[in-house]
Amino acid sequence: MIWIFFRGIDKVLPHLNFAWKRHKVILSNIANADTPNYRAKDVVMEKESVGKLKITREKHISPKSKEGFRVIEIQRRLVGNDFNNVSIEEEMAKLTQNRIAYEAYMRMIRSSVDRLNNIIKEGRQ
Amino acid sequence: MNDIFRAFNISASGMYAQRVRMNVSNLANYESYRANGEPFRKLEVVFQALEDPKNLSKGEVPVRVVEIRQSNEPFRLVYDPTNPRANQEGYVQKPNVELVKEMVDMITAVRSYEANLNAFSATKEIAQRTLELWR
Repeated sequence: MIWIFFRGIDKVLPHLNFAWKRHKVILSNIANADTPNYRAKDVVMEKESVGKLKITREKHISPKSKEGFRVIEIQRRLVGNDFNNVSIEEEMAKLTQNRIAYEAYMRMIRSSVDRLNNIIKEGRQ
Repeated sequence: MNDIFRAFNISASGMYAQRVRMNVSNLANYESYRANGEPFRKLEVVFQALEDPKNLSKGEVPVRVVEIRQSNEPFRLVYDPTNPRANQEGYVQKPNVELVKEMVDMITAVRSYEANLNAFSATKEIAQRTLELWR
């Protein structure tokens, strides 16, 4: 019964995990901004997680990773002579963007926890 | 929890690498000679991304300083016949450190350090947000 309140969280949680993983990838890109031969990376959602294909039988193809997203290398221009394609401005922009997204997901979770808290508190009176 | 700490480690590895780059004493030894009479050779820091599959699937790729090597660039030749180190033609070999290159390198190192620092505080903020769920 109590799980009704956490149903909202279930929907947000994959996105929260995605944002956290993306954050780590962006950190790696920034740390490796001066490493020769390093290719910038990013995280993308797999199609399976959008289409929600369920595995109902043993022989069904399982998605590559459980989380529904994977790390890719960005193929694009190579600026400079060290074959590193990290653009620090872009990474900083992605960092900020990602942080705001994380904040938004966190607030959604927060609101359902608050709601539950409210009920517990008010029920006592 | 460890996951969060590892994220801090990524930024820390970046900051450490940049600090090593700042620390190599090229500018201080702009005019130095080694004990064996040879001019000082520029020191170069070699970065490497730790891209093993285990790290990669987690999306964590720290950077590591694999070696600090001596540069093979030719020495600067300065015409100074009165110098005791001058050769028959009157040229003196000076260390292969170039002022402009060093300054530019230093600026990039500082900027990269700042970028890592920014990313570090972003991680800190995210961790704090997560902890606030407890309240």
